[in-house]
Amino acid sequence: MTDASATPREARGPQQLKLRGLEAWYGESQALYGVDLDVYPGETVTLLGRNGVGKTTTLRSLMGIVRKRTGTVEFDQRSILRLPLHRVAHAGIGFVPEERGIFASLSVEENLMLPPMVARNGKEMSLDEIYTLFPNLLERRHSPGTRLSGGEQQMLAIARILRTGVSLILLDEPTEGLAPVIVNRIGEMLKALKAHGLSVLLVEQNFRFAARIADHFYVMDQGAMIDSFAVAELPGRREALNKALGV
Amino acid sequence: MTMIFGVPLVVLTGQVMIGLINGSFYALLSLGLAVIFGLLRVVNFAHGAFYMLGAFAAWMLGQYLGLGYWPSLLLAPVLVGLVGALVERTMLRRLYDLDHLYGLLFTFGLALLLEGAFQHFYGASGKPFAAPAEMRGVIRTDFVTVPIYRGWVVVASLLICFGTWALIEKTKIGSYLRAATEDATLVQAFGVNVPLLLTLTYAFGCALAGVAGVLAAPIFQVSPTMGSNMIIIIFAVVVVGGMGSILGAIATGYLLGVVEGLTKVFYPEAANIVIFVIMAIVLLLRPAGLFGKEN
Repeated sequence: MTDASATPREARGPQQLKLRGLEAWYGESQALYGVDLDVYPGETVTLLGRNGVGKTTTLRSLMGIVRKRTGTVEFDQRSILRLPLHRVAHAGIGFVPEERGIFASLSVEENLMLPPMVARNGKEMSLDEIYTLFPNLLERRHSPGTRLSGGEQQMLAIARILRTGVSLILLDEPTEGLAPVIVNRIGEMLKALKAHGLSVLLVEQNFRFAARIADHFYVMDQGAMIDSFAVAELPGRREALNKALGV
Repeated sequence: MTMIFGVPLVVLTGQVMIGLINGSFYALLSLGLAVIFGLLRVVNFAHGAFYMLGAFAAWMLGQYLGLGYWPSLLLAPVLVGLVGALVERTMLRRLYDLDHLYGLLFTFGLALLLEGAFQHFYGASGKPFAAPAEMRGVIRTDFVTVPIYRGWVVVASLLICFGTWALIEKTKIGSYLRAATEDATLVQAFGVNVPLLLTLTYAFGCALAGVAGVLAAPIFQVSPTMGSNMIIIIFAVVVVGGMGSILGAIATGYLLGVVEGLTKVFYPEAANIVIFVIMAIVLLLRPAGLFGKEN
């Protein structure tokens, strides 16, 4: 994996996800001012930035949850800007929202089975594989989804997307509010996804967590991209980053 | 003769039976309202009109196509469901992003329109609708006397209510519905065609009203205003049960039917208002309804 992250991004092939000049609005107020971002196949990309600079909005806009937007959103060289929301997942993008989005009125297993399969490409995980990886979910498969602990809910939120066969996963702050032990487990899980060939676009406040798994970083401020660099350039940028992130 | 609280047992069980029959309609109708409100957040004031439409569809199928009760019991709800789907696709859908009040006003207007149209073309008087021949007659036991058809209504309503509950709680499409009731946007982001789910849900809720209408036709006659007489009580039932609660709507439907029936025995003067008195008390003590979740 260290080898893969050292190669130039372009060597991975054409961009899987390509954002150019993405602008988005909540009602009358503009939230994104021309966001450019690439995710190459198999890459883990982390979007950094302080609270409220538009990281979550970037995910929600490229997904189509925020409908009022302009610019270029291409997935596998195809524009997905005009697709109805429910067609975007079928293009191959899985969404793991902030707050995890576990449904209280569904059992753990129903939560797991909820997202429809979008592709059978060898990247999808079977129910058996998921239960082998997360024995807790198997044990509690009949209890309501929200009875799980925060960490288990996060595992469930990621696992149910893995089952669908998407090739890009959007992860919004998966470590928020979780104990360090659980954060480590989620880190292991993301490395496993990467080994599986999945691309990941990660929004993360926990910089140390992101630094362990990402190949490339973007930094946002006030609804725009202010920096972009590979993991190899990280050491020289610590200071500037700390300033930009206000840590 | 056995007496309970100074009332002959047969009278008492008879009234419970009548209560159960009314409760069967309350349950079917408030169930449809609850399903629609749960997902669409639309207070479907046209529900009574769809109930009337179901009864009229059955009457017309018999009158113009010579179809009997049983085929109509299947076909009329399908027709009502199709009308519901058309209404949702072409009109109701445009109101989701606006204040909920618009959905309420729209469906109220639709109800007036449908009622007015049927009154214009078919007159205000009720059309007789015969119960199927094999269901005429009465079951008589020591405890209770029930016309066969009315017994059938209770059984059919219980079956449909239980079936709907199982559909929502135990099936894949039911899990889509429950999840979308919590967070429709996320379910759509997962790749579920939520706009279609909304159409199907509205159509299904309307079809439930349609079934109730066909079941009611032989008991109450088929008239353009049969729905507006019913809808006020149904809203009280839904409020008592808790807006959007499936089991709440079913249980409260039967319960209030029986309470209303028993009130006729013990204090007949209050029979027409007892449901509303209960509604007022529930609103005071548990604003979210007996089965609703406070939030």
